Amino acid sequence: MKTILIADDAQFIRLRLGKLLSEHGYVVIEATDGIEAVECYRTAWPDAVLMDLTMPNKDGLAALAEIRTINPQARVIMLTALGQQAIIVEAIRAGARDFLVKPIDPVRIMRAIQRVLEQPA
Amino acid sequence: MNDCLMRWTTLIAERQPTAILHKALWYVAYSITSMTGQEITIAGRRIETVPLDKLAATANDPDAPMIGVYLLLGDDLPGQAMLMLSLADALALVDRLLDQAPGTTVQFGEIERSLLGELGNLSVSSFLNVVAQPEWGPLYPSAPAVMVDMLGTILDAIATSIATTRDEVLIIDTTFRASPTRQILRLWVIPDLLPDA
Repeated sequence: MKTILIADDAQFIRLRLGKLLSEHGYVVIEATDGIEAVECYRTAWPDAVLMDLTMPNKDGLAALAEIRTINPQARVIMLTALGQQAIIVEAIRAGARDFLVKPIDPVRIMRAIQRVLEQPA
Repeated sequence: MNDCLMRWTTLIAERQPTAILHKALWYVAYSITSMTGQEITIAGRRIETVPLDKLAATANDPDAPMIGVYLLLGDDLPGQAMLMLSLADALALVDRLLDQAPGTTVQFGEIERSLLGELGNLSVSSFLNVVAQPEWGPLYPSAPAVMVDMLGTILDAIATSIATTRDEVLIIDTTFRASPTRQILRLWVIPDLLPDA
């Protein structure tokens, strides 16, 4: 079974995404900030990451950069309410495989997960 | 005119909403609709300058129990935002989004506050997504602060944060409804600067 790391400081979002992914047969691990996300990645080596952008302690872009030093092929999807062009460009340049704008759309999220899992890691 | 003031004048011209402000508020309604699965439309909007000591009175019923979700808009578009909804509507919304039977939620714990914080975050981020211009830097709102209190007390939080710098406040006041007759949400966007335009 594939493992997905959800990194989001909002408990409600972790709950919703966790339920969605579990129902689709994924193993879910959670991080509540960027520091935890990097540590979880290092120890659990998940198949993909759903990463919020604005989190306490270490934001999503900083966590993405650090995860890519651990694994340059890490499959990280940014999932945030902030859909401004400058932010999207910055995330893709930093190595995000996809960028999804909240609110959560289960169909788009599952498509994005399936798409990145088909890519090499 | 400094850069921040210039930015606000793209949203408000001669105390009237510009097309981009209309679009931003429409997008807020669209995002809330997408999150809640309940069609939300704009019931009304107005721009007005209010003396700080009249702020609570502006909101009709200062003693009403309310939920307020407060965010700062970010350094590049200085201002504040407050999303407000009644206690009853907030409880109903929590039940809906947690897939619970109506009436299940009776108080606000961590998950309920997280949900309402996310509603505020989504509303303000959606607003910023539309108003942000390519030549500006990215606009990052603060983390949401969820307040459960009487409306007057919630609005005092805004008044207190402003009182040291000015004695009146300009409010972009938008109400949202879930049916033709029922208003359930109110969003105040408050520029930190008062555009003279």
